[in-house]
Amino acid sequence: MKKIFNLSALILMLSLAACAPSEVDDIFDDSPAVRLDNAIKNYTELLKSDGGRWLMEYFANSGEEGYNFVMTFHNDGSVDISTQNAYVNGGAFFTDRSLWEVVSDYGPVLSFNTYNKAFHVFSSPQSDGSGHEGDYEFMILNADNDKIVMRGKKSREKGVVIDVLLTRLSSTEYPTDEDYFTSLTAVRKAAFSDRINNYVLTTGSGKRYICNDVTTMLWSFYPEDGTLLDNGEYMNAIITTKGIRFMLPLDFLPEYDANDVAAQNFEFQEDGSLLCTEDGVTKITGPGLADLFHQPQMGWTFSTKDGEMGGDFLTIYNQIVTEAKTKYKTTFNWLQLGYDNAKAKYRLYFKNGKYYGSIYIKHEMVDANTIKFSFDPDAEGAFDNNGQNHYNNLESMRAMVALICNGEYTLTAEHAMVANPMTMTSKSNPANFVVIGF
Amino acid sequence: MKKYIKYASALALVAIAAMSLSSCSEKGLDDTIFPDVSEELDPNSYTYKFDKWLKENYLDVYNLDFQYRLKDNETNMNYNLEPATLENAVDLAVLAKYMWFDVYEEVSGSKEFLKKYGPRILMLVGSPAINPQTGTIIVGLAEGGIKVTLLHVNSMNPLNIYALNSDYFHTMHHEFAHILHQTKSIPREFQLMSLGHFEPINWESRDPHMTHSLGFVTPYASSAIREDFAETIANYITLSDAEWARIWDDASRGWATDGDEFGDERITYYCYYYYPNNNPVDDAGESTQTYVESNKVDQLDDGTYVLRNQYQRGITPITTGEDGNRYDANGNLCDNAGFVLDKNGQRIPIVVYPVEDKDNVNGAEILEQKITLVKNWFKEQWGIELDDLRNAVQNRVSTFDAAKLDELRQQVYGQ
Repeated sequence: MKKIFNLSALILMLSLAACAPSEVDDIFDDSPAVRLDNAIKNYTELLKSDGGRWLMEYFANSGEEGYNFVMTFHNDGSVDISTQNAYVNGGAFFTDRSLWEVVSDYGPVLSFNTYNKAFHVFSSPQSDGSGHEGDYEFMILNADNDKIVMRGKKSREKGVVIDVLLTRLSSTEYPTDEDYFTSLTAVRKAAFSDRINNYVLTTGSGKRYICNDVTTMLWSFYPEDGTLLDNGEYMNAIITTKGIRFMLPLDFLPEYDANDVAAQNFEFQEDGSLLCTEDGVTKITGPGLADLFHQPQMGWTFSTKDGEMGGDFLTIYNQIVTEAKTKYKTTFNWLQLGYDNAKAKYRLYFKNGKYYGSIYIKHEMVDANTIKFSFDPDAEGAFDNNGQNHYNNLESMRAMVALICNGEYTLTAEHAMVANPMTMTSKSNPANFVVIGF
Repeated sequence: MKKYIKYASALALVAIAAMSLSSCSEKGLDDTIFPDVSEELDPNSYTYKFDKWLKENYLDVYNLDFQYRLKDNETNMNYNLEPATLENAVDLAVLAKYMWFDVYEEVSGSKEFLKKYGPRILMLVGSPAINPQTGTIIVGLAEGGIKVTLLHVNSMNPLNIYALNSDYFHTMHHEFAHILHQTKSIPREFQLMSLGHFEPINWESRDPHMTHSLGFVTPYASSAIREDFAETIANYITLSDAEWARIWDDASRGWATDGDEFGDERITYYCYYYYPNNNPVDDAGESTQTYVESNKVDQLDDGTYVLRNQYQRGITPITTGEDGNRYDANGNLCDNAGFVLDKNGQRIPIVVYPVEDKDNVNGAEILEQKITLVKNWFKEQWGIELDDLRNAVQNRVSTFDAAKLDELRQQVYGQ
């Protein structure tokens, strides 16, 4: 049976009690002071219960990402707080012990009232008097056995709503605090890539928003048919091992007005995408594969691992390696498709021994997951010197260019958020495929 | 430039409120105004030893609540503050007792004096209170003698007793002086001593040296009579002989500045000036008077002040005469490096002059009179020799070391 404590209700009840004429029977069994005292005792017991280990999802302010803290509330009034973020211990995992208390203030308030080196750096005024402006006292809004919703007290005084969550942390899944942060680092690394631009949020009605700055958790959004300048929205977020939570609901989404649905929490799905837990339909994925494929900052290297290159790709690639060895006495290193940013042109790029060469093929996006290439060796600027040399001298290089430019290729990827690697498969002959990655 | 404020007081109203509270209360001196915590101390608590020590040494003895757990609602919510570390709270608790409460007990002969007049709450804050708009930093504040807040506790070095004395115990002596003069008023003679020289608004911009020469022990003392009184007492007790020697020296000099007295930045005052190359005027006939810090000035055996390692240069061109010696454009004999030589063949130093004391205040005499007045007031009104208090504090400061700190800590940790 979940125990529910609701501060709003408590305040309302206290107000009612205060307004009630004395001769009217009280609607509660206990006085407000007794009920507040009981709430404090109940929350104190809840925090300490079952090992007292909780994950805090904390926002210091609306201008920076949220931070994770693993907290173990001890019976003796001490609390161990662990974290791993850029502002503590040079970014390395760190734990410190200090004191905690549920006190009577604006209702029950969880206070971390002695300095903890892992936590209070966000409350410190630093040298400018402001610092991160983070809270260390939290009004408890509601709670059940596994989750406590709190609100920063000082932030509230300033008119800023910052809700902070405590959720129970499994000691089976994460035997030590450091295990959690090791896992979080891995999740974060796998979840997003700062090489990728234009993640996509799709609402239930199909409205699409382009999302950027996701790795910093300082998300920006604009409608696919708009611009960041004209229609941009910004929201900071926190990433946990389960998903992400925006500091505030994304109230600019049309569904918010239409259905009063406030998308704020997103959980990782098996394919790496993020699904909104509030409405169950709003989703965040990576950009379309063809879009991602041609983003200027990307360079897609052919994988030479067993099974990751097939059909003519494998045959011709092996011929390139052999032919390079015979004619140049070199070891052929790699092939890559991507932009030559210096010349703002697409290319087939390679490294043979110490030589880098570019063959400037053209590409186009057929649909969201289909691309095609073309090449005119007689066009001006079709090669750089090494590209020309290799194209002229290696029959296999000419064959590879011809293969790449032979019809359309379908792009597929297992991970919906970070399509790395993806597979490029010939539509006309699916036996011809190559796994590419950045 | 950041402005440091040692303390800020909200004296009168809170004092009145405090007196009102005490007059409304039927509790006697032996009763505590705080809830009885004896039954609440949990032997299994992480802080049991410390809490027990605080109860036995502050609450039970002085009726004082030593608040080391920070409560937002006890602070000015406009500031971003951090709590004190438990370790520093323990250190400051034992040190405050040793350096302040025990000193008064030693001099007054009992704990009753502080129990009656001492603050009721001592609150610790880990960070300073920094105003983001002005950059002003508060490291201590008091509210009518009821509550003294000591800030910046997390930067405290418990072995630097001089800094502790200056940053924390000075504040406590200062605020306690306010409590005392609210009970028995400041002598009228003291109130009249510096009239016309106070600066209630811009005291923060005043230069310490210059304020010494006006007869104030600190710039803050020049903000109001009551602050002058409290600062005189607190500094007399806490400053060392060497620090007072510098104040006396400052107070005896004239001070001047070439900065903007009404500008935003604190300006520097100087007590020495010189003329570059010993020329009082330049080619245009304008004065070349230049101020210089005292640490760049030496005094010769004959009492003359000179610029350290600076000498008069010859006027170019410097040429070789028929006698083979070097001469400047004015015919002065020079050495090969171009410095003018006197008749003994020595380089001529750049002469430095003391700034004329034009403030019409004998700062040293005023300060001495103020100290005499506060000593007499302490003796006559409270039966306490201020020199005894000072000697006790200075003795504890001079004999303090790591072993003493360990001994004090053991009062808590060794229980």
